[in-house]
Amino acid sequence: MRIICAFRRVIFPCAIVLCAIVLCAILGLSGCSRSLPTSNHVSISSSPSKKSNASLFEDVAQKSGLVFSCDTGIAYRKRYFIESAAAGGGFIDFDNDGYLDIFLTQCGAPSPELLKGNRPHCALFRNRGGTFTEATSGSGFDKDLGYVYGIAVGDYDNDGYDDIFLTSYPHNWLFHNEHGTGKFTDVTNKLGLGKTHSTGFATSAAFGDYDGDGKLDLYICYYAPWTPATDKPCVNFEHERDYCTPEVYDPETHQLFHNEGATFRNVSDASGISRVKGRGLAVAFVDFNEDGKPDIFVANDLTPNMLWKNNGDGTFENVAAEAGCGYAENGSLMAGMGIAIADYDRSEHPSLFVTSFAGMPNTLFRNIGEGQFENVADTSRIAPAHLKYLSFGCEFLDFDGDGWQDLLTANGHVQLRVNLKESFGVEQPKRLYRNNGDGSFASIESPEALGDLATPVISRGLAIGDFDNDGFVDAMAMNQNSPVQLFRNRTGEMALKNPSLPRPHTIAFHLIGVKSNRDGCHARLRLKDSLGVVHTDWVRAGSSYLSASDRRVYFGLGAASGACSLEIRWQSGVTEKLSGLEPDRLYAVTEGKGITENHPFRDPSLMR
Amino acid sequence: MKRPWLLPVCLVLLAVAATLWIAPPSFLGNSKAQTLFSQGTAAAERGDLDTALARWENSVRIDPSNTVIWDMLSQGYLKKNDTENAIRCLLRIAEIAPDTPGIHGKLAIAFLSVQREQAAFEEAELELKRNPDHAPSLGVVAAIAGTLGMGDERLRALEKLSRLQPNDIDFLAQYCEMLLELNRNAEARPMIERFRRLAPQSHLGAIYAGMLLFRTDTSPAGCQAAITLFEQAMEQEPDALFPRLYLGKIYMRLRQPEKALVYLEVAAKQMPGKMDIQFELANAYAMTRQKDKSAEARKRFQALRDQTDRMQSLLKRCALERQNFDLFKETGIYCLQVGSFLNARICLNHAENLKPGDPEIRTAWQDLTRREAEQQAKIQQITAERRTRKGLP
Repeated sequence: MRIICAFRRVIFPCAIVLCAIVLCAILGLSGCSRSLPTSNHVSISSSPSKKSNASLFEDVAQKSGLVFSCDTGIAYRKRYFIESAAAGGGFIDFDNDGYLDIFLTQCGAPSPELLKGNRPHCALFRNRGGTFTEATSGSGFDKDLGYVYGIAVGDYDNDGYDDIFLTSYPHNWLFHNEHGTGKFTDVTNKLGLGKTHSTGFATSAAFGDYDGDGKLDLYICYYAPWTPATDKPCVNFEHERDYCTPEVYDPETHQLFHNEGATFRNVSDASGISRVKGRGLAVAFVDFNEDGKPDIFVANDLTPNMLWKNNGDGTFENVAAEAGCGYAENGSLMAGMGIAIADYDRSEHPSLFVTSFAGMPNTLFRNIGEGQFENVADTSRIAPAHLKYLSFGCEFLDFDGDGWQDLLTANGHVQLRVNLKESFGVEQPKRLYRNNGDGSFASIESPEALGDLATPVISRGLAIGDFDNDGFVDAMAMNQNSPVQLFRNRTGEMALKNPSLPRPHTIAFHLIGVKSNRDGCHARLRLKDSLGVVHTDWVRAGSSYLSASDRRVYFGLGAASGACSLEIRWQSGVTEKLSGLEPDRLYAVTEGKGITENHPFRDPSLMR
Repeated sequence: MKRPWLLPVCLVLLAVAATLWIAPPSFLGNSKAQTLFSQGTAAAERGDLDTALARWENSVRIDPSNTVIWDMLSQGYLKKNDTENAIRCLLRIAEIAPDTPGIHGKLAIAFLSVQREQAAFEEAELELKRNPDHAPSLGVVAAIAGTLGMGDERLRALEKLSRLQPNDIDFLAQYCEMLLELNRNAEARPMIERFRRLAPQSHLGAIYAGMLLFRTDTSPAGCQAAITLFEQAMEQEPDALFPRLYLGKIYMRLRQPEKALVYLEVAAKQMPGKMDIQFELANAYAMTRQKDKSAEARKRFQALRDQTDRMQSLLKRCALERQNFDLFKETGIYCLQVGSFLNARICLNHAENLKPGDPEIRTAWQDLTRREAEQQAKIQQITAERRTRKGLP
């Protein structure tokens, strides 16, 4: 934007004015073998450091045994570009005991040549009913996996156990879950994923079944052709070595692998995915036009977002610009970092939220049907409230169980020094937005209410999941060079403590595919509560940033305490209708068989 | 114990020191140089600048370390619009006495005037290292930093200028625009208010206020207030470029795409190379189900977007790889192709310094000179037409 000629004040104006004018012009899954929790035993202790009676979330990581810190290699003082965006992790119930376990990615030296001694390992934590014990040793992850970035969780071989894909520099990894024993086998080369790298580094990845053959395929985002040798030296405004901005690196093509059973086949060229380059940071499968064929949305950093429309014949077409989700306001590029998907406005369409850089508004693309989005960042009041934060991971979650999807973002700057006028700081608190139910959101500002969410750290990944099975979705933030945070949602507990408040009801579903992929990915759930309100959600296949969230689908019901009915449209095309579903329970639904298990949520009063 | 001799001795020492301080040091013992200098000064006082310059040049030949003569020469050449010679003299001063107050600032301005922006920027930075509040150098940085891919530097310069020269509406306008561009709305608000107080007749004030309102108040009442401001701006300056674009945006927000199109189509004619107009147009046509027109506008938008992205990426790299001749050449030629003449000149200049005599660069310079002249003629024509329309002489 240049409204006036900028250079007029400095002597000899004419030529300069001329130039300025020119500038103006251009310018259980798994498995049936999975059991649901039957015990109410919880041992999370009370009295968190910052907890007040009003705090909505409490960081219980340390006290629950989740002790881990992602070392980005900052101590090597190289300031390699790859360091700026690391720290991922996710929830995975690897042993099918009904409790979400946790996997956290680790980095260490940003270049193998710098490595002194052993590289710190990624970590696997087993959930023992609300507390965690580390299970890395002997798991297969207790070795040098390179500079590990992100995680995708999926049962690629439909054996009933979730497997793990890791993006890493210089090699990605696929680990097969050995039937919940706690051991994982490296099958990267065996399954044809050993040659996933060009010269670039991969960031987020997602499993999803794009062709409906019942087997999970794999999309891998790549950021840029980068090696330690091609890293560029940049300085900040204090003339110190700092991380570069994205434009100095070319964007890279992304990769799509088709699951052929015995192997994964690289179909990036055949599918059309490799036609467009982007600095990819986040990916999610989403059937944006509701034609039953999962499409793929990719958030790119200072390159247009991609919306790969699934043509149904193994090919994809990038329709982001036409669909209205390729750019931010004014057609400006987004620094797309993370993706959250939900029917936040009860339109029954999946809308997209994309996080961005400080000073650049986060964007909410409202799905208005017929495969079209409108940018409602301003009118939803998300953009203005967020400008001083640099966000990566993000998820919709109905934290208060009122039936409206709220929004949580993980934040932290990428540079070592920032201008405090344009950014909250390098370390930043999480941001929580309550859905007002009228298309707008209100940011929750009170530190008391935010509780431990208000602690400033450099966050990257964000995953959500009900780790204590109390019916309210919790969250986990993966941070750079500081401890991981596990935020227990205190909504249930608070309602119990204050009997004058009605306890919101929730209900959750764990889908097990039979003809469809076992993870139930892409299934649409349409729930009608006892007050007649219709809620819509989908089994997730990718979201947030470098993270894997709980695939179980949770619905907040607010005051609706009566029985609900549910319609599930599986990816196979099978539609299943269930009724008489009592709230405050977790249901396992097997494709074609209806409810195969159900249990009440655990009593939140026991979880302190 | 009293020392009666002390006071007279001190007075003498002070007198000697003052003489040494006031008199140009190199004239000591060089009366011929001094005579020529005085003759030149007398000629300048008579208005005979050519004689003055000739005398001073002779004087400085005898006394080449005399910064006073070089300074007079530089001023004389500047008065004659012979900036290249003025730069020669200023560079000599910077060489002889690098700590001379303001010397790098003068050089910065001189370089800027002969369109050697990179050199101007470097000199301004040198001046600011010594005097961070040197307003002319801040002005140079504000003018150039943005195009060198250093937006932060530009912002800091404007921020400082808005404090040092709070009543300067030109700097203030640039600052308002940059803050709005960066979505720093809270900081923009008081600056816009100040601008409107200082320049109540300027249509820019209404535009800035309208843009701020558009960003910060999405309610129907906010939209209506913003409409009023943009209409006011159009009344103040019917040819203003931005009000129609924003009126289009507001009517899109109000879900009145037909009305938005009325403004956007005119805005697109006013500013055919402005990509966000094409972006809004594509959306407005899509909302009114004019698929073909929407696709055409999107195509135009995409082409402009790609151009800008490529140029910005190249410029960022140039900022990092200052010795990369090929990169500067590529960037200069690309900027020329897409009509970004200022960037083209900066990059071609730098490339030429890195490797003089490259034939492609020579061709590019010729092309640039021709196209800038064409553009200048066009601007003069448009300005003349506007003045005629407004009945101005």
